[in-house]
Amino acid sequence: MSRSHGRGWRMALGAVVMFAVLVAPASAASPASAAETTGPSETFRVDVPSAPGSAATISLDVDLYLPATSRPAPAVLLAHGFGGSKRSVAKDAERMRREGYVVMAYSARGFGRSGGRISLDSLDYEVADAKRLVDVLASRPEVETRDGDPVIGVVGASYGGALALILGATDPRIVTVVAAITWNDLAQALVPQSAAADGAAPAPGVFKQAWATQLFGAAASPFYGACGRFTAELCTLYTKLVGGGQLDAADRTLLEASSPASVLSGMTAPTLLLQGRQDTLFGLDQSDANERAITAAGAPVTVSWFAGGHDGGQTAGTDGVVDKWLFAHLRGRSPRHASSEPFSFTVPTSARGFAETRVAARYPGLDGGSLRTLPLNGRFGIVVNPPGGLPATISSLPGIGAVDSVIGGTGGSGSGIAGPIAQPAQQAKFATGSISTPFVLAGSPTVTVDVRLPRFRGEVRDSSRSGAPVEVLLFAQLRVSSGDSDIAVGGGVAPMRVSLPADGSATRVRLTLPATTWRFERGDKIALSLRTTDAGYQGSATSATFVVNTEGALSLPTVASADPAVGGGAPSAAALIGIPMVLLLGLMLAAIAAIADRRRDHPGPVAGPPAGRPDDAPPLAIRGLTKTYGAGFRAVDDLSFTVQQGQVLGLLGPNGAGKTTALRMVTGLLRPDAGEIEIFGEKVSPGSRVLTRVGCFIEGPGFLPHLSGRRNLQLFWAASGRPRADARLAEALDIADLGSAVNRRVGGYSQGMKQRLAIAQAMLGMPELLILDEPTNGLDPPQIFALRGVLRRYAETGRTVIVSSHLLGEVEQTCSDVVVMARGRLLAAGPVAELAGESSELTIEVTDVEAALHAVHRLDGAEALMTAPGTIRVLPAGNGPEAVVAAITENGIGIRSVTRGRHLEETFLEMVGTEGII
Amino acid sequence: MSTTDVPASIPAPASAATSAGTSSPWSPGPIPGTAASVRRTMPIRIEFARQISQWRVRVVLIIFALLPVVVRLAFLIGGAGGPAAGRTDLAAFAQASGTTFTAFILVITAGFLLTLVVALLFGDMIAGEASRSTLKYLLTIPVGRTRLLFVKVLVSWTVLVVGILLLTGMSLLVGTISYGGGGIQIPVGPQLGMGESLLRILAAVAIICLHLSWAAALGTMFTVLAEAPLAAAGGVVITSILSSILERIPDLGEVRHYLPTWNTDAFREFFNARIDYAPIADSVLSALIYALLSTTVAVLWFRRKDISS
Repeated sequence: MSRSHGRGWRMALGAVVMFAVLVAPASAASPASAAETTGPSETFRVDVPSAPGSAATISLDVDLYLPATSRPAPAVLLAHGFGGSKRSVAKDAERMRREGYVVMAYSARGFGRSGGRISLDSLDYEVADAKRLVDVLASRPEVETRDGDPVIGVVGASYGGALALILGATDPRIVTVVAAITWNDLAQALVPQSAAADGAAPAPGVFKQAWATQLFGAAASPFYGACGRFTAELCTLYTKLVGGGQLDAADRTLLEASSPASVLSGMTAPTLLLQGRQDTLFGLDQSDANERAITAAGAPVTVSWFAGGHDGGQTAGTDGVVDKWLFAHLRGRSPRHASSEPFSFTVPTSARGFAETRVAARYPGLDGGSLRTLPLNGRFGIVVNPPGGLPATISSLPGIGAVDSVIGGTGGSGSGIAGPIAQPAQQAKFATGSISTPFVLAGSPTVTVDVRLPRFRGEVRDSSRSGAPVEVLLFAQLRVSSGDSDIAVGGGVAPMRVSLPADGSATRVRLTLPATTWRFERGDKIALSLRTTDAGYQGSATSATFVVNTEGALSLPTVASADPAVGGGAPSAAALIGIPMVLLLGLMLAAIAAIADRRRDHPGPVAGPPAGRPDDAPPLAIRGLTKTYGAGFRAVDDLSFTVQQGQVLGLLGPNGAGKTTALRMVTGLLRPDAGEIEIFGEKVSPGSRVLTRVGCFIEGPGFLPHLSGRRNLQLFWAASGRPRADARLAEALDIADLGSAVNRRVGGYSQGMKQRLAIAQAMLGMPELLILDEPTNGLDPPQIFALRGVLRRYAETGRTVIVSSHLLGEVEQTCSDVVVMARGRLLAAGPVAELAGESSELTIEVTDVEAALHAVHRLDGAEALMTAPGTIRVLPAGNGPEAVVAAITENGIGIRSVTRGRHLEETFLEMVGTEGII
Repeated sequence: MSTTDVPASIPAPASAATSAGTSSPWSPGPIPGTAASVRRTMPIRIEFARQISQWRVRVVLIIFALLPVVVRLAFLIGGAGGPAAGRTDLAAFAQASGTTFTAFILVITAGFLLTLVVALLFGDMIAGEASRSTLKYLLTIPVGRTRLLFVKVLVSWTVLVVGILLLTGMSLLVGTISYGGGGIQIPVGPQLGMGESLLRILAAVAIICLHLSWAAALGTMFTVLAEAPLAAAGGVVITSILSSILERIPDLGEVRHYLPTWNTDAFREFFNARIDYAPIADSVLSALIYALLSTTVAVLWFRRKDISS
């Protein structure tokens, strides 16, 4: 639990750190890491006695793989397969080192660069060597100890698997054993007998010649002779078997020393038995015998029948299972992923089903959890053993497996490569009817068979006519035909040696077929094929003809597999706690944001007058507004002004004066660095509710280009959440004056059309304060004229309009009031009339300024002043322009030009300074 | 287009707005009482209408709908393949049944395609509005910034979930028509029942969506930080790719387990015979932590952001 908690926090912390790493674009450097080391950490030789009690020694070639951690780690002794050496397990050793184990790989005696001769995992030789290696491991400081004992497991496949079992059963220091595709009883494995005669002692078996020659015969070398590096005893035994001899008691004793069967009663270490489904050398019966012995000894054992074996795949695909097992049993921790099952088995692909792995809560043995019994048709068959047992039926090839899968032939039909697979005269076949309900076979099918010599009219026709019992060989195979295909079930055949009485009476044997798994589908027919020859086994040279009969029923074991949907790994406690915590934190943050928004929308009694605003609050009041952009550029500098109700205020300034920045702050788009903005007496911050009363058009239009102008305005208004009737959409669209274009997509609009649509959008709902930033850009003169009328009438209703512009004439003709800005500062503010004078002003160029001024001053109320050399400005005050002109010309002063109108431009240029306008 | 094709009946407002009879010039009329209730700004259905009208969103949905058909056609061209060829991955079993086909479609899309779609949808949310200059108008309505982000995220999630469900539904439809109605065929495992298969597909979709929350939230953050939608979407994709690359550097060791993409495949547990819930829970936790961080940054940043586009 505490470990899980720690993991959860590390997960959270890790996520934060990772977040920072991923977001920061600069942090690309990868953390320094220990380089992955390859190859053994140490290579040395260990001297062991060449024979029990002998003073002479041989030396073993050993590789030690040390993990990167400095702490002591559990150790794994890794034993190689037959014909291999420490090199052949290097990959596994490196994988286990990565998993954090100290791994010792070595070449067994008689292999690789180790000395000595092969004794086939003999208790006195190879196993004694392994014990010596365990001593070495136990003395190493890198190996973890628990309660003073070293933590050492042993792992091996095939030849190494048997060593692992024997070592595990005889050395109490071994904590756990993993044994793959190996044997239980070497005599039984090499000279098997699948038939049990009723009440009689088991007949001798049949020599598995093809495999034996692969192993023994291949050892021949010019340096070591015909038997290679085998010991002399084994060489003699092999020679005898190949010559057709039978095992005697001494031979059996020799093989017993190499068989786990003889020592497994002492096993205490938890054991993982991996046995391949495709294995005609060491079939599932061998692991079954191992399982029964270990269970009887009281040690926990797990069995897995995986898709592999000596005939296909070897131990490929079992790494994960082995790693999980070692993790659980060497580190003493339960595996993170799904707890391992006591029994799992794979079912091969069938005609209609896919390959699958099934699990069961209990290993049921080869008899299965339950039996399905199917009657066999065909009462008897006559089979012939040809002279010399040749040609032999080829059922499987060592290392390759069932020929059906290799050649792809259908049973009985010839093939160019391997000749006829089954000679018709050598075979008797008994088939079941079509299967009605699909089922999965898992285990050894059994059937009772009667074998006898043929009788003709009560007369036994014995080919030898000696009167002595005749020994015959039979090889049984289970086949399945579905549709056109007829293939072997599993790879193996069951060999049996049966003694037939000369009088023609039947010998009844109980035949156990090789254990395998198979899925039978509806419509499949299962057949029992009994043959007299098999290329994998030593045949009988004596020709014979005999009759086989089945007792009538085939028993097929099935296993009730555990429901595959349940179980699996549970979420870590950290995740279970972490997920709701993160969600809760998220909710809390959301609540904080919601509260902040509510505060802004309902400022409460402190921030302003309660409920209703004072009606006299100005539509806009700005005090000390300042905004500095990133590079220190002060766009708006201490700007203050107030806009009164009913005004059309012109915000005038050259480009870059800060007009747009100021308006963006007014509408809450930018955050001012200093200063205050109040609209109708309410302070403005991003998203302030009071902005509902403001309509704005700032720095260019923005629409969804794929929608029509009308749809854009509809959606815009809908987004405000106010009633549709308040929008006054028709009026706004009339102002935009887009004609039929209003129903076309905005993407096709001209700049001016977009501009007008944007102004219409700002006027939706006829807001009390209308802010238009450079509204006349891109408009035609007639449209500008129309807009002026609209804005004037808009203000007449008590609403307020703010128009920014860099054009004097624009402001002069549209606005009642003006605020002049340049370089972010306020230059002047007031009614247009005050700043720009009356529209009746006259600017006159005269020949004599002094005289002209005198002449004008004589007029009633008129004022005049010189504005430039040769130019005077006259405020006529009720006098018509003609009167002023007359008064000047009367005195003989010449007039070069007369202009009537305001002088805003002049004022503006004075205030802004010439450098402000290029 | 120039304005010449607009009739020069200036001042149009006067003539049009008062066409009801009077000849007086147009006027907006008196200021209405401000008592008018303002409901929630930016209703979710309105944002949904704005989004669904965009081709970007429609194309995403169309791709989701058509992808199963394309994969089916690919299988037609590619031939049977399948377990007979000795393969045991889900692709080999995809043609076993409609539900297996659906599981296969989910497996091939969950890694990259969905991240890309998330980047497109979430990266566009704010940056897209900014690039169209519509953001400032939405904010001056005024739609609260948190509210806007919330609605946008909600609508993007809706589109995403609808899209994934569309993908799943179409896969089931196409798969069932093509391969029949059996349950999920687990590679090297049993075939599940129909009811359980559908439940598992639904659970896988839920976990896929939950796991995508890290990318969605990252998109939310980038869309707030960036001005261009492409930059925001690209940011998500590049982060995802970067994380996947780091994942493949074994030297990083356990650090890799904290990468946001580490648990991308957790939903595949539902297509195993026995479901291991540990990676599923880890994927949800890791995604939620990233999502919370990104979203918090996004909201804080957006609430204070200067809108200058």
